Amino acid sequence: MKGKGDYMTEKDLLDKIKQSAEQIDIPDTITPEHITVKLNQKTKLKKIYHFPLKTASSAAAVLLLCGILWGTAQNPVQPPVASESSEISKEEDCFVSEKKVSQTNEPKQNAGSLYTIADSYDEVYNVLKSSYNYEDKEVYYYTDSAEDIAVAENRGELAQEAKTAENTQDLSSAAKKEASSFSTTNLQTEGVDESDIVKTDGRYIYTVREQEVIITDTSENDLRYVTSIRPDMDSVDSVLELYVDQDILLLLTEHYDTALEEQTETYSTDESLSEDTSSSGFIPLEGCDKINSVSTNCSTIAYIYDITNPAEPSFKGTASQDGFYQTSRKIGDILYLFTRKGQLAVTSSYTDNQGGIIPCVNGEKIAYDHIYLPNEGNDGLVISSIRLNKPDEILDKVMIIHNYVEIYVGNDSIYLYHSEYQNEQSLTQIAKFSIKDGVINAVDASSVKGEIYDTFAINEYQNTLRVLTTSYDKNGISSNRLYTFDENLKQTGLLDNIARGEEIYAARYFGNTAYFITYRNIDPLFAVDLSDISNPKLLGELEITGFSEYLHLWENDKLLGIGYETDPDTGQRKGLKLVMFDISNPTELKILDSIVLDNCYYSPALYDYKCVLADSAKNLIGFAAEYESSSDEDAYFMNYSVYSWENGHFAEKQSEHLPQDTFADSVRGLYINNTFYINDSLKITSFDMENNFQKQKQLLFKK
Amino acid sequence: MEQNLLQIKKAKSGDIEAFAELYRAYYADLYRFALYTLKNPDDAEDAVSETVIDAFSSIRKLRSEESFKSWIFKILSVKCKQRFRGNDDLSEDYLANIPNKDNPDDFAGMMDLRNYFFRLKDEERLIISMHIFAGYTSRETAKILRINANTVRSKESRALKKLSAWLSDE
Repeated sequence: MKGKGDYMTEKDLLDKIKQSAEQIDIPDTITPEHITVKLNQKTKLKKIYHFPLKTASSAAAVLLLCGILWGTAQNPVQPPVASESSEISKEEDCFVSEKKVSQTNEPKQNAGSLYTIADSYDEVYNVLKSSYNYEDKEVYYYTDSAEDIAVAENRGELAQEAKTAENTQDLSSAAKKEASSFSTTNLQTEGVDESDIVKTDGRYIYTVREQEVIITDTSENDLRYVTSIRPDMDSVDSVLELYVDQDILLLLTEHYDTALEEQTETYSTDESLSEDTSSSGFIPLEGCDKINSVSTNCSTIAYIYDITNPAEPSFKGTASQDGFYQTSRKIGDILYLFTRKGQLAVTSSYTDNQGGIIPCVNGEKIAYDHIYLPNEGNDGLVISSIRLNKPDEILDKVMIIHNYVEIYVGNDSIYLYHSEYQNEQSLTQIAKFSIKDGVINAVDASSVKGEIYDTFAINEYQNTLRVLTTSYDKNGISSNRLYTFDENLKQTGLLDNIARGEEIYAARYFGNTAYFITYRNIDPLFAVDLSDISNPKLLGELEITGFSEYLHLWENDKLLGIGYETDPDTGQRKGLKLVMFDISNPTELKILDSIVLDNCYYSPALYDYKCVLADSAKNLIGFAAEYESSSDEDAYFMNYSVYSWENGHFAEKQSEHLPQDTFADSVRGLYINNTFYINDSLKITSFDMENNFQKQKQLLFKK
Repeated sequence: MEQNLLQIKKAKSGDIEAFAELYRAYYADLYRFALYTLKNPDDAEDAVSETVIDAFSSIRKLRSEESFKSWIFKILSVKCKQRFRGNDDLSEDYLANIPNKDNPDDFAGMMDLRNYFFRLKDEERLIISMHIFAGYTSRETAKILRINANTVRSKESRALKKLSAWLSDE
């Protein structure tokens, strides 16, 4: 007999959970009226943390991120005498390199005064310890995660198209050689490859699904399952993304090590620490001798396979690195892997001066002279570089201690940036690291007024940097600036007072021109000439309704915008909008066409450029979007739509309905020659582009 | 969303009343989110209180196109995550402590559902709460929790399957 659960869809169940919550009585203490009173008291007292809390442990909470002790107590960094029982066992796997000095000849440089090279592990601990009691507020409010920190395309689309051909591999079979054109992951900087959940090499499609990569052969207009690669992983581990580079397939995975631990309570006995902790809101747990806690350690592991014969991938090796996966880039045959080891100060006790809590790369601790220290910080950003064909050989590894940073990678450099508030002003601190042949070394640091709001607003071109920022003055009025820097990160130029009262929504740089969208109730597109980096000049400006969130160069003289149409009076969003700008003459920007997709309010294309297929050579614009049903407000459906640019207008070529349980963000559209493919985590469907996108085949992946 | 712009501006300049008005629309859902994630009414109340204070003291960081709702739930999500104690034990009778409105419809069914929902793991409850109370897409949830978006989707799906199985096992 079937129970009632069998008849419930996921949505029904979610609705039921929601309904059950609506029966809860909301306590008076959190009503707006009470909150108003409390906030009034608080602003008078100017003490944020003297708010009475009902539970003791709450104030001692820490970010439960990777590498954190997950339990009822957290140990701050302890002096060397602290108990040994709290040492995390995983650390034993990791050793300090015999070669404490850099393998590379060049010693690491300071990044200005923003990040300085540690003199010793002791200095690392001291910074972590002093940061431990500082409750970092910034970390909650970042606006973008590192995964979509992007770099803007700077060599134009022609270069990208050239690469398509170059990418066509030297394939053994005749069928492979026939593939003359195929889509690649939508990148921001030509030459800086990015991982994704779906890739094609012109014949095979590689799809990430939870714990495996499925390889599908598309030859002879068919869709044939070839094989799947399953790295040897635990049940909680997952495959995140992949790279395909000629005969190499690289999988990025996260591995979790969880262990139950018995710990001896240590900090209630130390008076000085008790003082420290209480001052920042910590309430020592008196009377607790032993505390059971769960420690979770996360490491990112790259699995590398030879796919000369995709039917029989052969395992070549792994590279592993402590911490959560943040992002990665591939430049030539070098992979740069970024992971975050969170809350270093609380992950373990300080037990020795041999690097007790220092993250490892391929089992080897990062040497102290490869660790960059800020004034204050508690998280470690680990960056390593490897050659794809030699994963066991780490070219370089560094760690930057920080409270929160965003990552941007250009052709020649890595930039780390974050915003700070000083004297009611927002600032963005930027550090530049050169990445020559895999060697990572700081160049300098600089700071600019305002904050970087769009991932495409920061861009490197010919080793020089350009940055667009938005700031608010004391009256809450926004204003925007464009800064230029030379190769040593010295500021060379500034264009300020751009679009007062508006914010930067989207930006894109093409060669020596910056294009950006600001928005309040209307959407001006600006073009700025950057050919003289000491004197950026405003070239043109164009106002239309709505705003774009994503910009893409189209045929070298047009700019495609994907965003929203809005009501200029109320600001209310009317639906997703595609717009094509004519930028052939930046002093006379024009709109060629725009279309509004009715009842469509969400597309991952707005926020994740990897979800966008935009290829002017093939004349394809594709993305998934959610639509509200016109008959039933609560119902929605999802389509993958493809548009072409024909005779000066957008033309819808196809709109494929996606099943309700499809996860919009994991849908990718791709093409190989004249076949279009829609790939989600459940299936691949092929369409004949020469025949009105008629559906051809479908390959369902096993559940 | 955009009609709140004026209030957001006022709140950014330190206007408590304007802030409270923005908050009014969401406080019930904030509390439901916290309670369903943390299981404990006291914890939930604290988490919401802390969230409000943090939100007010940092509202200048709110970007105007980012909705107030999405932003304040982001703070609460992090707060809740910080409060997990790593003990998924069921010994504590959480259900008894939850204040309900008078005579809810289908009281028994609702209590069953809550009971089973509370059996889910911390992270599973958090992910579902972020979906239904905060209205986040799995991508947004993934960003905040810093896990892969596919993982969010599959974790939610797995949790719902479990829940559904428990309910049908009755």
